[in-house]
Amino acid sequence: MSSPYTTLPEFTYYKPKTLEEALELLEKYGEEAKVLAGGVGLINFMLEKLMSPKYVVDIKGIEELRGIGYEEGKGLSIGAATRISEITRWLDGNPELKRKYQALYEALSRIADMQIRNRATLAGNVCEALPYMDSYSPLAVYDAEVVIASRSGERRALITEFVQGPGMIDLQPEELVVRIDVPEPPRRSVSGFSKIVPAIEYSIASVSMLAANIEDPATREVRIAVSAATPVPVRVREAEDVFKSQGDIVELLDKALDKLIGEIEYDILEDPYASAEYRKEMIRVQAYQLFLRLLREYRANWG
Amino acid sequence: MPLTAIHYLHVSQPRHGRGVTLLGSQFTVREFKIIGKRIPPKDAFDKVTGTGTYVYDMELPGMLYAKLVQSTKPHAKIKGIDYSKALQVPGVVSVATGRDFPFRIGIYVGDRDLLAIDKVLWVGHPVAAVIADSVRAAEKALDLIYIDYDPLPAVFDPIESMKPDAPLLHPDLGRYRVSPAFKPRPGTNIANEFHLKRGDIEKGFSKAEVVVEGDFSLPFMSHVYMETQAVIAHYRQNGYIDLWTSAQSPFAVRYLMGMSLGMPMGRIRVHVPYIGGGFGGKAGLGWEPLVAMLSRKVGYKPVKLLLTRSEQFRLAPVVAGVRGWGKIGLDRNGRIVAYQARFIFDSGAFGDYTVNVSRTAGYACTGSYEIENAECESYAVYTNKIPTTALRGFGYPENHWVLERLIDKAAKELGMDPVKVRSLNLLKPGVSYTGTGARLREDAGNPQKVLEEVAKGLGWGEKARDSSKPWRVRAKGLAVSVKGPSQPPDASASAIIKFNEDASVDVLVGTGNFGQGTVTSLAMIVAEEFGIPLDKVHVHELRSTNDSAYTWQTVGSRGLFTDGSALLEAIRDAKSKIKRVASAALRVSEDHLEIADGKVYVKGKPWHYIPLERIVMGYTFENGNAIGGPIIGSGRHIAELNTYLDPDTGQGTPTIFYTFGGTGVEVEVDLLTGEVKVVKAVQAFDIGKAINPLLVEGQMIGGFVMGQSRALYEEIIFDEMGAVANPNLSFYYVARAPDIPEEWVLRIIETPQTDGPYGARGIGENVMIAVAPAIGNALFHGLGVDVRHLPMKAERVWRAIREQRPELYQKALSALKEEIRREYESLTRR
Ligand SMILES: Cc1cc2nc3c(=O)[nH]c(=O)nc-3n(C[C@H](O)[C@H](O)[C@H](O)COP(=O)(O)OP(=O)(O)OC[C@H]3O[C@@H](n4cnc5c(N)ncnc54)[C@H](O)[C@@H]3O)c2cc1C
Repeated sequence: MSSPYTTLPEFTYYKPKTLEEALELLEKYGEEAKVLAGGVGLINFMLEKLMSPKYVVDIKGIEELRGIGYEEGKGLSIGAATRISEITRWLDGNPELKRKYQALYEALSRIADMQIRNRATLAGNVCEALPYMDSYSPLAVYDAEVVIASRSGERRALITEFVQGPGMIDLQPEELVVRIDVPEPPRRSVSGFSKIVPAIEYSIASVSMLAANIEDPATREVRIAVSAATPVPVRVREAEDVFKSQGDIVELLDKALDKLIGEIEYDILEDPYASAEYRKEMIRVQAYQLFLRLLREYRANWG
Repeated sequence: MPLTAIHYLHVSQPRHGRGVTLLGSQFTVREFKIIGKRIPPKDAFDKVTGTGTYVYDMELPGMLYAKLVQSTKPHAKIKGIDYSKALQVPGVVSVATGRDFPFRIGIYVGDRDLLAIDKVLWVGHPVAAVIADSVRAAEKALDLIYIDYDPLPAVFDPIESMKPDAPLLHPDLGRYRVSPAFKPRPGTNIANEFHLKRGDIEKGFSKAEVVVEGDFSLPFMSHVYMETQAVIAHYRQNGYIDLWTSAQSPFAVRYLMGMSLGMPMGRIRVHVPYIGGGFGGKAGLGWEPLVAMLSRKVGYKPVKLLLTRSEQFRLAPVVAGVRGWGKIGLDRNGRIVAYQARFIFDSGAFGDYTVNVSRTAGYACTGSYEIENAECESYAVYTNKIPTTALRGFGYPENHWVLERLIDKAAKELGMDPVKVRSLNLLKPGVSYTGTGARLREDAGNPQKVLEEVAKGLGWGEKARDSSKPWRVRAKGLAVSVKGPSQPPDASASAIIKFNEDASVDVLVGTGNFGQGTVTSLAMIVAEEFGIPLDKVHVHELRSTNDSAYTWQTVGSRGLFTDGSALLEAIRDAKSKIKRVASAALRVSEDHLEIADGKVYVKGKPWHYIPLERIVMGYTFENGNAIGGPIIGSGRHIAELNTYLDPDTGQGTPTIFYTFGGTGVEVEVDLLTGEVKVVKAVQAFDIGKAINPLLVEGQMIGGFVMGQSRALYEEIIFDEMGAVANPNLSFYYVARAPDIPEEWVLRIIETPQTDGPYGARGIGENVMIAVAPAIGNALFHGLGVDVRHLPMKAERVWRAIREQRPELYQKALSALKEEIRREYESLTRR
């Protein structure tokens, strides 16, 4: 977690200019290599001697991994070398998209502080795979996909499947995350992010929610993603389906949350910073508060 | 900082007391030119621009770097240390172990080793030191030192540790060097015990209408000063040691080092440049003896030891956790008839400084109140955890956390307003006796006025404002506090001023300069007294024992009071020397001369004068004859009429002043998450005289935020080995900018104390003492929720609400759901 060291172990540093080059290095060095994006996580892990790669492959010089694209109907595509502050600034300049990806925007703008957001990348955040990574619940709520490349080609993984456990991701040593694709959210939707940060740096329970066509049970869609309270980000489709029924909205919400929490109950984390009991209740409380906020925003936008 | 509203007000008080006129010209109504003005601190420029030099930044030619190997066992015998591989790392010069330094050091109970001697006492205990020509080499070598341990049973809980069969940390406790006021119990883990007995406790409680008691606790915490500990030592071949250290008290470092190493004091030269914060954590003696010894071991080369933040958390002293208990009895009218308290300080592996913190918590247990029957006991107890030391407040935040909360609980039980109960029981200067049986000076301040100002500032009695959301509630609470310096009865200070050719003044003082602003106030005093511009007064940021004036320590809010008094004496001394010369030059008697506006002039004939420039290096007549010479003034201060405390009853006079103060808060509590946000802070202190109100307010705001941080967030967490589990600022949370309240009411009350400079008393520590109790009382008063363990972090408050006021929680949840329903309906209705 923290150590007496102030100097890094020795390693060979590469800064390839093309994706091809990077993939070659990763294939060549395998487990002995580590990808460096913002370095916010990696450098600390190396200082603490939790990771001691012999080769460090810096991807910030690869032009094709930089930048953000958007295509109507398909969604956002965020290059792996794009810094978090670049994403939020880009969304600030595109109010329409910022509204569409409100949960992502809120989560990213609340990561750490300005200095860290100016260095860290979204892909790095996703790959760091600590339970409290703020990008997880919003990415899950939009069904985002991690796009992975290696010399043998490209593959895609849903965020909820890509993250497999604390520090564990679905990635082979010769593979590189090249971008994150965030699909177009449903029409007439609103979304938001909420976290509880009780006297530590990180969230102990995060909830992202997306709601579309709220007033009409037939077409209504409500998505709820949880992270930080659980080892990996989760969505429970069965719980979300509850909203397709008729009935009192609060009762539906209660029922959906019962289902959601019932499903993840035994995975909820407990540590000195928050008990499982508190985390569990904070999922619920935040879900209510967030839903209320989304109702208001929905009314303002689509009502 | 989002200070949307700062109300500040000076309440100048006539002296409180009866029938005695104040002596000394300081208090005759006097127009000040500089004293009392809002002047930014002199060191602000260097600090804000980052151009000031700290030990952290310093490099000396040929310097080597030391790194410490930490124990991985909480309690174990060291069977062997193999550092042969470490010595082979290129750049490594030497490795030292505890056997190299078989002696112990300390200020009050000399229980500290430089490196573990044969036995480790906590996970983190420095076992060996590597010295190398680069930090990189030293860090490489760290991993190549193999230590063979023979584990011993460990004890982590102070209550367990007090039991007769607990594993002993210090079997030689009886042989350690101990200062007169302390009583370790050899053969146990008790580093010190203290007992205060006053009146008849049984009889007192028998008169009580209500009796309220409770357990309380405070966790271990870190000072989190910005500059981690840093020392450079150069043991020279000629027998002199030069030390550059981030320490609060250069003279204490010299004295304690000289004592423990048996070295002549004058050969130890301690230099202190800018210090990145201290808060008590850099008082007394730190790593200086170790680094000096390392310097000698490597052949008289300078050696630097710089702790990383995580080392700071694991091996440098932190602040003791406390288990407290108190019991209070009020009679029908609200008078406190009896008070009993117990404080167990978990001092970790060394009790050196904490013994005095715990003793102070004991002797000051009755706070701001007159309590005829009181019995308090306090203990400092060893456990296999990180050692502890002083923190701003020094035992008072701990005892106030118990007493000030119990007052509110007892008041409620009696059905009385807690402000009224406080008012009824506050000490009356000149009349009342404190808990140690000392009659309070009649010019000690105006506690009633303080309480009144807090209540007024907070709008006590008016309902708290409604919150914006139905599941959040606003609540108000307050507490009062008192603080005096905890110093030996003979602690002293001195000051020297010397004039430069242009009649500017160099001020030589020993008091440290790590955020209190004392130095600026001292410069203001000199400027005022000679009538010269402030920028003609120079207080060097560097303190050196060889050319600064002596002061015992920079602790206990004493700097301005003690060193300021010494400085006024030095000014009087210089003035009389100036007048002697001027008397000859102007041909009038010294009595008829006055010094002001940078001139010596004849009283009544101000046009008949000599500018100071023409006197301070000697006065030259027209024909070249000269008299006088360079002007130097010196002055001193010593605590007067203080006593040791009676070893059995704790009775006596322990302090030179008490500053009375109080804090009020308005908080907003999220009933569903337990999060507490402080929305308004009220601070009121009777400091006698605000030499620089801007800096006083700085202390009030900074101290409040530090107190708030301790109240709501800060806590060192230990794992099952007693190791610090959150040794970084991601998991050890300290208040940040968004946590700072937006609305402030700051009240300075000025009831002068005759023997303080211009009547001033200290302010540096009291500002944080009542904050936690005020927040606790707000939860109690406004929500009916009693939280007795710090920090009052969200989950703890949430749990307390659910357990003690489940209906509140349910109501809040229903309100939230109701709003969802309403919002949904208004969406579908259209
Ligand atoms: C003080 C502090 C506060 C923080 N607060 C927060 C917070 O509030 N919320 C939060 O969510 N996070 C927080 N973090 C974590 C921080 O956000 C992450 O460390 C950061 O996002 C990682 O991104 P990076 O680009 O710097 O990744 P790097 O440090 O470069 O990499 C992180 C890990 O991912 C791997 N990696 C990176 N990019 C790729 C890729 N394209 N393909 C394959 N592997 C890759 C690296 O090899 C490494 O193992 C905080 C960190 C610090 C130091």
